[in-house]
Amino acid sequence: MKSSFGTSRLLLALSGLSSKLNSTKKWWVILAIFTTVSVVTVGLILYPLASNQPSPTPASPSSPSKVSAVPGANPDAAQVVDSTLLKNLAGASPPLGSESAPITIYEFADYQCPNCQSWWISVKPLLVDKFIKTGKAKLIMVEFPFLGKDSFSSAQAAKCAGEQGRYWEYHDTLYSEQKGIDTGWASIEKLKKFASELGLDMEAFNTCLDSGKYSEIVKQSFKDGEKLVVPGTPTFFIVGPKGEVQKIVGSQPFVVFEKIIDSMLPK
Amino acid sequence: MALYNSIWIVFASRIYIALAGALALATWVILAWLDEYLFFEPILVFSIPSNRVLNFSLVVLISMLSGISISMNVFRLISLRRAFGKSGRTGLTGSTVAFIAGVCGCNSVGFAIISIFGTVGGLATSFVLNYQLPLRIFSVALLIIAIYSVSRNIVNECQLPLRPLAKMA
Repeated sequence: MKSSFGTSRLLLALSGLSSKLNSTKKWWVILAIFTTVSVVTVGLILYPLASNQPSPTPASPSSPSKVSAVPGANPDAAQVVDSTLLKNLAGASPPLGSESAPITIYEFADYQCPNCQSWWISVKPLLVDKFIKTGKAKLIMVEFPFLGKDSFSSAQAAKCAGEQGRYWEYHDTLYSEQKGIDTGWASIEKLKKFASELGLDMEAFNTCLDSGKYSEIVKQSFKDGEKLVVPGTPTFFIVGPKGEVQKIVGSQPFVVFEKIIDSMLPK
Repeated sequence: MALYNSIWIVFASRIYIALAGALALATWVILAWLDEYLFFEPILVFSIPSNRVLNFSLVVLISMLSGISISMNVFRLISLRRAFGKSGRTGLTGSTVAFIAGVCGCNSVGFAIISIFGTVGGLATSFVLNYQLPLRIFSVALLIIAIYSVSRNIVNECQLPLRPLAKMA
């Protein structure tokens, strides 16, 4: 009886071990597939980097609106940009810098976007010092409000400040005051308060903002951004002296702008 | 102690070290790209703006914890023939929260979400963007709980076969 019990236990243990082995094998196959998928995913992400070796890829004069100016840029990723539309944007701000600067940087941004604020804090001052103050480039802001209702009103408020020649001061105020999306930091009252603190003509500003004078222009800015395939904010278009265009998506570091602008400037 | 023991058990195998490393790297690449620390176009560039150091540290922490948590869960699944239990789900929840916190924003993915889902997408994006930092901290907490939970399970389950022997002794 005892022996029979022991044998059955042994058989049970063996069958358990066998199924355990089968199951373990199955799990190893799953692990192998999982690891392969992970490695392939990372590989697919990293593969373009390998072909992204820095080698000069000058802009083709025959296709000035093709995105291809930056050394090391992947030509396959080039997108056709309507440079005529860029030059005729309804919602373009007054330029920051010299009108005659050979390089024009168009910035599509939303005043409620934290990445736009981050770029404004960390990159814009360097760009101003090296390229804008020296007359090599000018910056044009194009409002692309999509994050919330206050994005739209803050864009209009900036335009109203621009009527009084204070666009860029008001622009800086908005970024320095930025808080969460639609949390009230850019309510109509706050927008008027910012204008008052800047010493703007409040009667003119209030009339401008309350009448929605720039509502259609700001809407048009957004539509223009969509036509230019702006995928998010901030997005930049750097237009060189020969009409070549380079698109930069995201709050990219100064080194990217420096490399592109230096490659576009006449040697 | 359970955590220490289970880490020794799992990462005694080089395969699990490699798996954890691969998962951590994949998570880091995706989160760093979503959060705009890593750019592939027009040139490959990586940068940490001075005002976003804390957020980046959380991205690194989440990537590492995700790698450890998922590989420990895989070890448990493979070695102990268990289906996904509570701990497994918690590990994935922590990683998912971290991904959501990165996906929604003013980046291209966030814009696509708002374009596709309209007002609902906009509200979701606003919420996630406004609470990105707390959400990231929350996901770190979830991942720590997941690792602790799975490590307890691994140690307890590994001790099971020893119990009858202990009784016999």
